[in-house]
Amino acid sequence: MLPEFGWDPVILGPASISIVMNLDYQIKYSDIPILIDNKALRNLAARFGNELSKRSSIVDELPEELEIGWRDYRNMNLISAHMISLFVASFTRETEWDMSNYRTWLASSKPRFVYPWLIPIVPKESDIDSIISSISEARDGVLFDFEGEEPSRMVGEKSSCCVLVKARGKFEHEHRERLRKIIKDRFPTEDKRIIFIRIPCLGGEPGGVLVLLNNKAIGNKILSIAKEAEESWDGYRAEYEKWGLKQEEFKQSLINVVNHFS
Amino acid sequence: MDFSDLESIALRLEDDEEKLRQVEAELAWVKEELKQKPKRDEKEARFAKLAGYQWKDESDLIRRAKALEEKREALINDIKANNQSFIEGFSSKDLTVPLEPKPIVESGTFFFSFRNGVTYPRTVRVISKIIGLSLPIVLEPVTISERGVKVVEEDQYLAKEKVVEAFEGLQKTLALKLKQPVMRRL
Repeated sequence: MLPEFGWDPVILGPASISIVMNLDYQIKYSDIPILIDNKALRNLAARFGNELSKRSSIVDELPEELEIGWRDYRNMNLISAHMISLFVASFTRETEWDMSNYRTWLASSKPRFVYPWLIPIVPKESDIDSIISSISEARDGVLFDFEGEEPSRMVGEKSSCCVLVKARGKFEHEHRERLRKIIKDRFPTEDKRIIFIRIPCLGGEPGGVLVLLNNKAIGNKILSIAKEAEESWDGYRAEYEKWGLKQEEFKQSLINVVNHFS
Repeated sequence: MDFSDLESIALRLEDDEEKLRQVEAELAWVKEELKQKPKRDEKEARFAKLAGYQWKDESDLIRRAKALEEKREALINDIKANNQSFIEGFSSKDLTVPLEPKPIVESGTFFFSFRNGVTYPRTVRVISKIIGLSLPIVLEPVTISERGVKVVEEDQYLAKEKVVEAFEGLQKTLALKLKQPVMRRL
Protein backbone atom coordinates (compact mmCIF):
# COMPACT_ATOMS: atom_id res chain seq x y z
CA MET A 1 0.00 0.00 0.00
CA LEU A 2 1.34 3.41 -0.90
CA PRO A 3 0.81 5.71 2.06
CA GLU A 4 -0.30 9.30 1.63
CA PHE A 5 2.14 11.96 2.69
CA GLY A 6 2.64 15.62 2.19
CA TRP A 7 5.30 18.27 2.34
CA ASP A 8 6.70 17.39 5.70
CA PRO A 9 10.21 15.98 5.09
CA VAL A 10 10.08 14.20 8.44
CA ILE A 11 7.22 12.08 7.09
CA LEU A 12 8.17 12.11 3.41
CA GLY A 13 11.69 10.65 3.75
CA PRO A 14 10.97 7.55 5.85
CA ALA A 15 7.66 6.98 4.00
CA SER A 16 9.44 6.91 0.63
CA ILE A 17 12.15 4.59 1.97
CA SER A 18 9.49 2.31 3.44
CA ILE A 19 7.65 2.17 0.08
CA VAL A 20 10.85 1.23 -1.76
CA MET A 21 11.72 -1.53 0.74
CA ASN A 22 8.15 -2.92 0.75
CA LEU A 23 7.90 -2.88 -3.03
CA ASP A 24 11.21 -4.69 -3.31
CA TYR A 25 9.85 -7.36 -0.96
CA GLN A 26 6.69 -7.69 -3.06
CA ILE A 27 8.70 -7.88 -6.30
CA LYS A 28 10.77 -10.72 -4.85
CA TYR A 29 8.01 -12.75 -3.25
CA SER A 30 4.72 -12.18 -5.09
CA ASP A 31 3.46 -12.87 -8.59
CA ILE A 32 2.82 -9.15 -9.00
CA PRO A 33 2.73 -6.24 -6.57
CA ILE A 34 -0.85 -5.00 -6.04
CA LEU A 35 -0.74 -1.33 -5.16
CA ILE A 36 -3.41 0.59 -3.28
CA ASP A 37 -3.04 4.25 -2.46
CA ASN A 38 -4.01 5.42 0.99
CA LYS A 39 -5.10 8.80 -0.34
CA ALA A 40 -7.55 7.22 -2.79
CA LEU A 41 -8.86 4.94 -0.02
CA ARG A 42 -9.34 7.92 2.30
CA ASN A 43 -11.25 9.87 -0.38
CA LEU A 44 -13.50 6.92 -1.17
CA ALA A 45 -14.07 6.15 2.51
CA ALA A 46 -15.23 9.73 3.04
CA ARG A 47 -17.46 9.67 -0.06
CA PHE A 48 -19.15 6.39 0.86
CA GLY A 49 -19.07 7.02 4.63
CA ASN A 50 -22.82 6.60 5.17
CA GLU A 51 -23.11 3.31 3.33
CA LEU A 52 -19.92 1.89 4.86
CA SER A 53 -21.04 2.78 8.37
CA LYS A 54 -24.00 0.37 7.91
CA ARG A 55 -21.66 -2.55 7.25
CA SER A 56 -20.16 -4.54 10.08
CA SER A 57 -16.44 -4.28 10.73
CA ILE A 58 -14.00 -6.06 13.02
CA VAL A 59 -13.08 -2.62 14.35
CA ASP A 60 -16.58 -2.35 15.87
CA GLU A 61 -15.86 -5.42 18.01
CA LEU A 62 -12.58 -4.14 19.44
CA PRO A 63 -12.48 -3.25 23.15
CA GLU A 64 -12.76 0.49 23.62
CA GLU A 65 -9.13 0.93 24.72
CA LEU A 66 -7.90 -0.68 21.48
CA GLU A 67 -10.35 1.17 19.28
CA ILE A 68 -8.34 4.39 19.40
CA GLY A 69 -6.42 4.79 16.19
CA TRP A 70 -8.31 2.02 14.41
CA ARG A 71 -11.59 3.91 14.30
CA ASP A 72 -10.22 6.38 11.70
CA TYR A 73 -9.31 3.51 9.42
CA ARG A 74 -12.54 1.54 9.81
CA ASN A 75 -14.12 2.51 6.47
CA MET A 76 -10.84 2.44 4.55
CA ASN A 77 -10.26 -1.04 5.93
CA LEU A 78 -13.70 -2.19 4.74
CA ILE A 79 -12.96 -1.07 1.17
CA SER A 80 -9.61 -2.84 1.00
CA ALA A 81 -11.11 -5.94 2.69
CA HIS A 82 -13.82 -6.05 0.01
CA MET A 83 -11.16 -5.83 -2.70
CA ILE A 84 -8.96 -8.51 -1.11
CA SER A 85 -11.94 -10.84 -0.58
CA LEU A 86 -12.74 -10.69 -4.31
CA PHE A 87 -9.11 -11.40 -5.17
CA VAL A 88 -8.86 -14.30 -2.74
CA ALA A 89 -12.22 -15.71 -3.90
CA SER A 90 -10.82 -15.85 -7.44
CA PHE A 91 -8.39 -18.49 -6.17
CA THR A 92 -10.50 -20.35 -3.66
CA ARG A 93 -13.65 -20.66 -5.76
CA GLU A 94 -12.35 -21.12 -9.27
CA THR A 95 -12.38 -24.19 -11.41
CA GLU A 96 -9.04 -25.31 -12.70
CA TRP A 97 -9.81 -23.90 -16.14
CA ASP A 98 -10.49 -20.43 -14.76
CA MET A 99 -7.40 -20.55 -12.58
CA SER A 100 -5.34 -21.13 -15.68
CA ASN A 101 -6.96 -18.00 -17.07
CA TYR A 102 -5.40 -15.91 -14.30
CA ARG A 103 -2.09 -17.66 -14.88
CA THR A 104 -2.49 -17.06 -18.62
CA TRP A 105 -2.82 -13.36 -17.95
CA LEU A 106 0.34 -13.41 -15.82
CA ALA A 107 2.22 -15.39 -18.43
CA SER A 108 1.02 -13.59 -21.57
CA SER A 109 0.69 -9.96 -20.48
CA LYS A 110 3.51 -10.14 -17.92
CA PRO A 111 2.00 -7.45 -15.71
CA ARG A 112 4.70 -5.93 -13.54
CA PHE A 113 2.32 -4.31 -11.07
CA VAL A 114 -1.42 -3.79 -10.80
CA TYR A 115 -3.78 -1.41 -9.11
CA PRO A 116 -7.41 -2.21 -8.40
CA TRP A 117 -10.64 -0.69 -9.66
CA LEU A 118 -13.49 -1.78 -7.42
CA ILE A 119 -17.13 -1.91 -8.62
CA PRO A 120 -19.15 -1.11 -6.54
CA ILE A 121 -17.18 0.24 -3.59
CA VAL A 122 -19.86 -0.87 -1.14
CA PRO A 123 -21.21 -4.29 -2.16
CA LYS A 124 -25.02 -4.62 -2.24
CA GLU A 125 -26.05 -6.38 -5.43
CA SER A 126 -25.24 -9.87 -6.57
CA ASP A 127 -26.53 -9.94 -10.19
CA ILE A 128 -24.23 -8.64 -12.90
CA ASP A 129 -26.71 -6.12 -14.38
CA SER A 130 -27.05 -4.28 -11.06
CA ILE A 131 -23.30 -4.45 -10.46
CA ILE A 132 -22.57 -2.91 -13.86
CA SER A 133 -25.27 -0.26 -13.46
CA SER A 134 -23.61 0.87 -10.21
CA ILE A 135 -20.90 2.41 -12.41
CA SER A 136 -23.47 4.73 -14.00
CA GLU A 137 -24.31 5.90 -10.46
CA ALA A 138 -20.59 6.50 -9.78
CA ARG A 139 -20.50 3.93 -6.97
CA ASP A 140 -17.15 2.64 -8.19
CA GLY A 141 -13.62 3.77 -7.52
CA VAL A 142 -10.01 3.20 -8.58
CA LEU A 143 -7.99 2.54 -5.44
CA PHE A 144 -5.07 4.54 -6.72
CA ASP A 145 -4.38 8.27 -6.74
CA PHE A 146 -3.32 9.82 -10.06
CA GLU A 147 -2.69 13.20 -8.46
CA GLY A 148 -4.76 15.14 -10.96
CA GLU A 149 -3.46 13.33 -14.06
CA GLU A 150 -5.95 11.98 -16.60
CA PRO A 151 -5.55 8.15 -16.40
CA SER A 152 -6.40 7.58 -20.08
CA ARG A 153 -3.40 9.70 -21.08
CA MET A 154 -1.05 7.60 -18.99
CA VAL A 155 -1.88 4.24 -20.51
CA GLY A 156 1.01 2.42 -22.15
CA GLU A 157 0.96 0.22 -25.24
CA LYS A 158 1.19 -2.90 -23.18
CA SER A 159 -1.58 -2.02 -20.76
CA SER A 160 -3.65 -4.94 -19.73
CA CYS A 161 -6.21 -5.87 -17.14
CA CYS A 162 -7.67 -8.87 -15.41
CA VAL A 163 -11.37 -8.56 -14.56
CA LEU A 164 -12.60 -10.65 -11.62
CA VAL A 165 -16.39 -10.94 -11.80
CA LYS A 166 -18.21 -12.32 -8.77
CA ALA A 167 -21.92 -12.45 -9.61
CA ARG A 168 -24.94 -14.70 -9.42
CA GLY A 169 -26.63 -15.97 -12.54
CA LYS A 170 -25.29 -15.95 -16.04
CA PHE A 171 -22.37 -13.87 -17.24
CA GLU A 172 -23.15 -13.55 -20.93
CA HIS A 173 -21.22 -12.23 -23.91
CA GLU A 174 -23.27 -9.02 -23.72
CA HIS A 175 -22.12 -8.44 -20.11
CA ARG A 176 -18.50 -8.94 -21.10
CA GLU A 177 -18.90 -6.42 -23.93
CA ARG A 178 -20.49 -3.85 -21.62
CA LEU A 179 -17.72 -4.23 -19.08
CA ARG A 180 -15.07 -4.16 -21.82
CA LYS A 181 -16.49 -0.88 -23.17
CA ILE A 182 -16.55 0.71 -19.70
CA ILE A 183 -12.91 -0.26 -19.12
CA LYS A 184 -11.75 0.90 -22.57
CA ASP A 185 -13.52 4.26 -22.24
CA ARG A 186 -11.43 5.05 -19.18
CA PHE A 187 -8.27 3.02 -19.73
CA PRO A 188 -7.81 2.42 -23.47
CA THR A 189 -6.76 -1.22 -23.68
CA GLU A 190 -6.71 -3.73 -26.54
CA ASP A 191 -9.53 -6.33 -26.39
CA LYS A 192 -7.10 -9.22 -26.28
CA ARG A 193 -5.43 -7.72 -23.23
CA ILE A 194 -8.65 -7.77 -21.17
CA ILE A 195 -9.08 -11.11 -19.42
CA PHE A 196 -12.26 -12.07 -17.52
CA ILE A 197 -12.37 -14.48 -14.59
CA ARG A 198 -15.73 -15.59 -13.29
CA ILE A 199 -16.12 -16.23 -9.55
CA PRO A 200 -19.22 -18.06 -8.26
CA CYS A 201 -21.36 -16.02 -5.87
CA LEU A 202 -22.76 -18.19 -3.08
CA GLY A 203 -26.04 -17.87 -1.16
CA GLY A 204 -27.21 -14.35 -0.56
CA GLU A 205 -23.75 -12.81 -0.51
CA PRO A 206 -23.20 -9.61 -2.49
CA GLY A 207 -20.98 -9.66 -5.53
CA GLY A 208 -18.76 -7.19 -7.32
CA VAL A 209 -16.23 -6.63 -10.05
CA LEU A 210 -12.55 -6.10 -9.42
CA VAL A 211 -10.49 -4.85 -12.35
CA LEU A 212 -6.76 -5.31 -11.82
CA LEU A 213 -5.20 -2.67 -14.05
CA ASN A 214 -1.65 -2.62 -15.27
CA ASN A 215 -0.36 0.51 -16.99
CA LYS A 216 2.59 2.83 -16.91
CA ALA A 217 0.81 5.48 -14.83
CA ILE A 218 2.04 3.84 -11.66
CA GLY A 219 5.62 3.65 -12.89
CA ASN A 220 5.82 7.44 -13.10
CA LYS A 221 4.61 7.81 -9.55
CA ILE A 222 6.89 5.12 -8.14
CA LEU A 223 9.95 6.59 -9.83
CA SER A 224 9.39 9.99 -8.23
CA ILE A 225 8.92 8.25 -4.87
CA ALA A 226 12.16 6.30 -5.48
CA LYS A 227 13.99 9.55 -6.22
CA GLU A 228 12.69 11.07 -2.98
CA ALA A 229 13.69 7.92 -1.11
CA GLU A 230 17.24 8.07 -2.45
CA GLU A 231 17.62 11.77 -1.65
CA SER A 232 16.30 11.15 1.83
CA TRP A 233 18.66 8.20 2.29
CA ASP A 234 21.67 10.20 1.15
CA GLY A 235 20.72 13.00 3.55
CA TYR A 236 20.07 10.88 6.64
CA ARG A 237 22.04 7.70 5.97
CA ALA A 238 23.68 7.56 9.39
CA GLU A 239 20.30 7.91 11.10
CA TYR A 240 18.73 5.07 9.07
CA GLU A 241 21.78 2.83 9.57
CA LYS A 242 21.41 3.36 13.32
CA TRP A 243 18.00 1.67 13.02
CA GLY A 244 19.52 -1.36 11.32
CA LEU A 245 18.85 -0.64 7.65
CA LYS A 246 22.13 -0.99 5.78
CA GLN A 247 23.23 1.12 2.82
CA GLU A 248 23.78 -1.94 0.57
CA GLU A 249 20.34 -3.31 1.43
CA PHE A 250 18.58 -0.04 0.62
CA LYS A 251 20.53 0.67 -2.58
CA GLN A 252 19.94 -2.84 -3.94
CA SER A 253 16.22 -2.53 -3.20
CA LEU A 254 16.21 0.84 -4.92
CA ILE A 255 17.81 -0.63 -8.07
CA ASN A 256 15.27 -3.50 -8.10
CA VAL A 257 12.31 -1.15 -7.71
CA VAL A 258 13.54 1.38 -10.28
CA ASN A 259 14.26 -1.40 -12.78
CA HIS A 260 10.86 -2.99 -12.19
CA PHE A 261 8.77 0.17 -12.49
CA SER A 262 10.67 1.92 -15.32
CA MET B 1 29.10 5.48 -25.81
CA ASP B 2 31.06 2.51 -24.50
CA PHE B 3 33.11 1.62 -21.46
CA SER B 4 36.35 3.09 -22.87
CA ASP B 5 34.64 6.51 -23.22
CA LEU B 6 33.36 6.15 -19.67
CA GLU B 7 36.84 5.17 -18.49
CA SER B 8 38.25 8.45 -19.92
CA ILE B 9 35.52 10.48 -18.20
CA ALA B 10 36.11 8.52 -14.97
CA LEU B 11 39.86 9.24 -15.25
CA ARG B 12 39.21 12.99 -15.52
CA LEU B 13 36.67 12.78 -12.71
CA GLU B 14 38.98 10.96 -10.30
CA ASP B 15 41.90 13.19 -11.28
CA ASP B 16 39.85 16.32 -10.56
CA GLU B 17 38.63 14.85 -7.26
CA GLU B 18 42.23 14.22 -6.19
CA LYS B 19 43.20 17.78 -7.20
CA LEU B 20 40.19 19.09 -5.29
CA ARG B 21 41.29 17.23 -2.16
CA GLN B 22 44.76 18.80 -2.44
CA VAL B 23 43.39 22.28 -3.10
CA GLU B 24 41.01 22.02 -0.15
CA ALA B 25 43.81 20.86 2.15
CA GLU B 26 46.01 23.77 1.02
CA LEU B 27 43.12 26.21 1.32
CA ALA B 28 42.45 25.04 4.88
CA TRP B 29 46.13 25.68 5.77
CA VAL B 30 46.08 29.15 4.16
CA LYS B 31 42.85 30.06 5.97
CA GLU B 32 44.35 28.99 9.29
CA GLU B 33 47.40 31.12 8.56
CA LEU B 34 45.16 34.06 7.67
CA LYS B 35 43.44 33.72 11.05
CA GLN B 36 46.80 34.05 12.80
CA LYS B 37 47.93 36.93 10.55
CA PRO B 38 46.67 39.96 12.55
CA LYS B 39 48.46 38.81 15.70
CA ARG B 40 51.70 38.05 13.84
CA ASP B 41 51.58 41.32 11.89
CA GLU B 42 51.21 43.26 15.10
CA LYS B 43 54.21 41.49 16.64
CA GLU B 44 56.32 42.03 13.49
CA ALA B 45 55.39 45.73 13.40
CA ARG B 46 56.24 46.21 17.09
CA PHE B 47 59.57 44.40 16.64
CA ALA B 48 60.39 46.48 13.55
CA LYS B 49 59.67 49.70 15.47
CA LEU B 50 61.89 48.56 18.33
CA ALA B 51 64.67 47.51 15.99
CA GLY B 52 64.33 50.72 14.01
CA TYR B 53 63.46 49.57 10.51
CA GLN B 54 60.42 49.81 8.28
CA TRP B 55 58.35 46.58 8.31
CA LYS B 56 56.53 45.60 5.13
CA ASP B 57 54.02 42.75 4.86
CA GLU B 58 55.46 40.49 2.19
CA SER B 59 53.18 37.49 2.71
CA ASP B 60 50.82 36.79 -0.17
CA LEU B 61 48.31 34.80 1.85
CA ILE B 62 45.27 36.76 0.70
CA ARG B 63 46.25 36.42 -2.95
CA ARG B 64 46.93 32.70 -2.48
CA ALA B 65 43.61 32.15 -0.74
CA LYS B 66 41.78 33.92 -3.56
CA ALA B 67 43.60 31.87 -6.21
CA LEU B 68 42.87 28.64 -4.36
CA GLU B 69 39.19 29.56 -3.99
CA GLU B 70 38.99 30.14 -7.74
CA LYS B 71 40.76 26.87 -8.45
CA ARG B 72 38.41 25.06 -6.07
CA GLU B 73 35.37 26.57 -7.75
CA ALA B 74 36.64 25.58 -11.20
CA LEU B 75 37.37 22.02 -10.05
CA ILE B 76 33.93 21.66 -8.46
CA ASN B 77 32.33 22.78 -11.75
CA ASP B 78 34.49 20.35 -13.74
CA ILE B 79 33.58 17.51 -11.37
CA LYS B 80 29.88 18.34 -11.68
CA ALA B 81 30.12 18.44 -15.48
CA ASN B 82 32.10 15.17 -15.65
CA ASN B 83 29.73 13.52 -13.20
CA GLN B 84 26.80 14.60 -15.38
CA SER B 85 28.54 13.33 -18.55
CA PHE B 86 29.30 10.03 -16.85
CA ILE B 87 25.71 9.52 -15.70
CA GLU B 88 24.33 10.55 -19.11
CA GLY B 89 26.81 8.27 -20.87
CA PHE B 90 26.20 5.29 -18.64
CA SER B 91 22.42 5.62 -18.70
CA SER B 92 22.34 6.21 -22.47
CA LYS B 93 20.35 3.67 -24.47
CA ASP B 94 23.33 3.23 -26.80
CA LEU B 95 25.70 2.11 -24.03
CA THR B 96 27.81 -0.89 -24.98
CA VAL B 97 29.51 -2.97 -22.33
CA PRO B 98 32.34 -4.79 -24.12
CA LEU B 99 31.87 -8.26 -22.66
CA GLU B 100 33.17 -11.46 -24.21
CA PRO B 101 30.18 -13.33 -25.70
CA LYS B 102 31.41 -16.65 -24.40
CA PRO B 103 31.69 -16.85 -20.63
CA ILE B 104 34.17 -18.87 -18.60
CA VAL B 105 32.26 -21.54 -16.67
CA GLU B 106 33.40 -22.23 -13.12
CA SER B 107 31.36 -24.44 -10.75
CA GLY B 108 27.88 -22.94 -11.13
CA THR B 109 29.09 -19.49 -12.15
CA PHE B 110 29.57 -17.81 -15.50
CA PHE B 111 32.29 -15.19 -15.86
CA PHE B 112 32.03 -12.74 -18.75
CA SER B 113 35.36 -10.92 -18.94
CA PHE B 114 35.74 -7.59 -20.70
CA ARG B 115 36.91 -8.08 -24.29
CA ASN B 116 40.65 -8.50 -24.99
CA GLY B 117 41.41 -8.67 -21.27
CA VAL B 118 40.87 -4.91 -20.85
CA THR B 119 39.99 -3.75 -17.32
CA TYR B 120 37.81 -0.78 -16.37
CA PRO B 121 38.71 -0.04 -12.75
CA ARG B 122 37.78 3.64 -12.79
CA THR B 123 34.41 3.13 -14.50
CA VAL B 124 33.36 0.46 -12.00
CA ARG B 125 34.67 2.60 -9.11
CA VAL B 126 32.72 5.67 -10.24
CA ILE B 127 29.50 3.66 -10.75
CA SER B 128 29.82 2.18 -7.26
CA LYS B 129 30.46 5.61 -5.78
CA ILE B 130 27.53 7.32 -7.51
CA ILE B 131 25.12 4.50 -6.79
CA GLY B 132 26.38 4.02 -3.21
CA LEU B 133 27.35 0.34 -3.36
CA SER B 134 30.69 -1.11 -2.31
CA LEU B 135 33.16 -2.81 -4.66
CA PRO B 136 32.73 -5.20 -6.38
CA ILE B 137 29.15 -4.18 -7.22
CA VAL B 138 26.84 -7.01 -6.15
CA LEU B 139 23.32 -7.18 -7.58
CA GLU B 140 22.29 -10.75 -6.77
CA PRO B 141 23.13 -12.97 -8.63
CA VAL B 142 25.41 -10.65 -10.63
CA THR B 143 28.78 -9.27 -9.47
CA ILE B 144 30.44 -6.53 -11.51
CA SER B 145 34.17 -6.01 -11.06
CA GLU B 146 36.89 -4.19 -13.01
CA ARG B 147 37.73 -7.43 -14.87
CA GLY B 148 34.21 -8.44 -15.91
CA VAL B 149 30.86 -9.75 -14.76
CA LYS B 150 30.26 -12.91 -12.72
CA VAL B 151 26.81 -14.54 -12.57
CA VAL B 152 25.73 -17.33 -10.25
CA GLU B 153 23.32 -19.21 -12.50
CA GLU B 154 22.78 -22.69 -13.86
CA ASP B 155 22.06 -21.79 -17.44
CA GLN B 156 24.13 -19.61 -19.79
CA TYR B 157 21.08 -17.92 -21.35
CA LEU B 158 19.60 -17.12 -17.96
CA ALA B 159 23.00 -15.78 -16.94
CA LYS B 160 23.01 -13.45 -19.94
CA GLU B 161 19.49 -12.30 -19.08
CA LYS B 162 20.60 -11.52 -15.52
CA VAL B 163 23.56 -9.49 -16.83
CA VAL B 164 21.22 -7.42 -19.00
CA GLU B 165 18.82 -6.91 -16.06
CA ALA B 166 21.63 -5.86 -13.72
CA PHE B 167 22.99 -3.27 -16.16
CA GLU B 168 19.49 -1.99 -16.97
CA GLY B 169 18.81 -1.60 -13.25
CA LEU B 170 22.02 0.36 -12.76
CA GLN B 171 21.36 2.50 -15.83
CA LYS B 172 17.81 3.37 -14.78
CA THR B 173 18.82 4.11 -11.20
CA LEU B 174 21.65 6.38 -12.32
CA ALA B 175 19.31 8.10 -14.80
CA LEU B 176 16.98 8.88 -11.89
CA LYS B 177 19.64 11.30 -10.64
CA LEU B 178 19.20 13.37 -13.79
CA LYS B 179 15.47 13.87 -13.13
CA GLN B 180 14.21 17.08 -11.58
CA PRO B 181 12.63 16.56 -8.16
CA VAL B 182 8.83 16.41 -8.16
CA MET B 183 7.03 18.40 -5.49
CA ARG B 184 4.37 16.18 -4.01
CA ARG B 185 0.95 17.60 -3.27
CA LEU B 186 -0.88 17.02 -0.04
